[in-house]
Amino acid sequence: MDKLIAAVDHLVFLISVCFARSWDFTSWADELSNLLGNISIRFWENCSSIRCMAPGTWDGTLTAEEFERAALHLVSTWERCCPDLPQWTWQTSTKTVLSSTSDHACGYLVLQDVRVSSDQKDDMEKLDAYDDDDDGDDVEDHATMYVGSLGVNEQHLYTYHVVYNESYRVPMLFLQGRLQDGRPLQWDSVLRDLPVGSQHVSDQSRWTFLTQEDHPLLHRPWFALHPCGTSEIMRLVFSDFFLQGKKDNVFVSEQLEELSDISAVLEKQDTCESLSGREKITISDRSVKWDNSEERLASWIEKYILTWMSFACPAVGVAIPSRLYIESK
Amino acid sequence: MSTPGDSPSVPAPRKVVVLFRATGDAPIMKQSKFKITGTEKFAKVIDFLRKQLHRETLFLYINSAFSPTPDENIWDLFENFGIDGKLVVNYACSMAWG
Repeated sequence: MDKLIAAVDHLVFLISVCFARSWDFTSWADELSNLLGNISIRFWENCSSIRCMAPGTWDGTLTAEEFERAALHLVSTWERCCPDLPQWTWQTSTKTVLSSTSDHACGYLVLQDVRVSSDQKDDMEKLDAYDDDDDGDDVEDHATMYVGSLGVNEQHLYTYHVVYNESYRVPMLFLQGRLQDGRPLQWDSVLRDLPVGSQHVSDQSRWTFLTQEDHPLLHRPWFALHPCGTSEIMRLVFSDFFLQGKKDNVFVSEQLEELSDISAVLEKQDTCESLSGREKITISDRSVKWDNSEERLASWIEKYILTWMSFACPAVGVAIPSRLYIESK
Repeated sequence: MSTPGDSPSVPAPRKVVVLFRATGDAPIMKQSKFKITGTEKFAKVIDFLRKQLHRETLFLYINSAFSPTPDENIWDLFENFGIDGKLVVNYACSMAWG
C-alpha cells in the first residue's frame, strides 16, 4: 500500500512537470489538478473505509459518505415500516468552500414537529385561568395568549436533527423544542421533558450528556446529545458483525452449545455472583474468519444509523419501533 | 372455527429463554440463561439485569442490531430475533454519553 501511494505521488509530480513546460500552463494545470484531486480524495476515502473495517481495529466511526448512505437507508426503511409515524427526511446542506472536503456530509436528517406531552406548570401559571362557566360576556381579545383547553398538560413541539460530526466521525443528535405559539423552550423545560432516566444522567453528567451547542449547519444554538461515547457503543454493538459465520452469528451459536441447561427462572430471582477476571470472549479469542465482501460492508454501513438511533433517540424520549430492525435484519 | 359470540381461547403463556451475554467491561453473571414469560415487556429484563448486577446504567441490545424499547413484547422479540431457540441479550456498562 505504501509503495502504491508513493508511486501515485511520483506520477503526479511527473505530470505536473510536463505540463509546466507547456506555454498554456495555467489552464492545463488547473484541469489536471482538479482531476487528480478528485481521484486522490476518492482514493483516500476508499482507503479509510477499508482500514476502519479491519478486524479488531475498527473504532466505531464512519465517514461522511457512509453517514449519507446510512441516512438515506434510514429514510427509506422508516417510510416503508412506519408510514403512520412522523417521517424522517433528508435535508441537503449548502456546500461552502470549507465544506468541500471529503469529511463534510452533504446533508442531515430531520424529524419535524414531534408532539411531546408535558405536565409542566410553569408556563400556565403566567396565564389567567380559563373558566368553563364563563357566560361569555367578556369579548375575546385576540391579542391575549391562546389558552384554549390546554389545562395542566401542554404539548411541546420538538424537531430533531441527525448531523454528521466531523470531529468524532459519528452521527450527532440535535433537538429543539418550542411551545405551540412558537416560543422556544428553555433549558430547564427541555430537561423536564426528558425521560426520567435521562434526567438523572443529565444531573450526573452535566457537561457530557445533553448540552447546548452551535448547530454546525444552521449556526444557531440547539440542544445536542454529546457524541463522545457514540463510537465506543457502536464498536461494541458491531463487534460480532464483522465476524464471518456459517449462519447468522455462528459465534453465539457456539456459546449456546457450551452453556449448561436451564436451572433458574426469573420468577425465583436467584442470586448470582459476578465473576472476576476476564472470561468474556474478545474478538481475538474467536476462531472465525473475517469476511470483507462488499455486500457485508454495504449492509453494515446501512445499519449504522438505525442501530445508533435505538440508543440515542430513547435517551431524549423518541421511541424507535423494533419493526425497523425486522425489516433490515 | 369459532362462532360469533364465543370468547376466543386464551393460549397458555409461553416461556422464552433469555441468554445474557456480557460485552465490553461488563461483569459476567454466574448464571446467564433464564426463562421469562413471553407476554412480559423488555422492561422486566432490564430491571432484572440491573438488580443482578447492582448497576443502574446498563445498555442492552439484541444481536448486532439494536436496543429494544422497554415496552417491547418479549415473545415478539424472540420470534423475530431469536437464535437457536433463545433470545440473546447483550449488555454493556460503559456510558453511551459522556
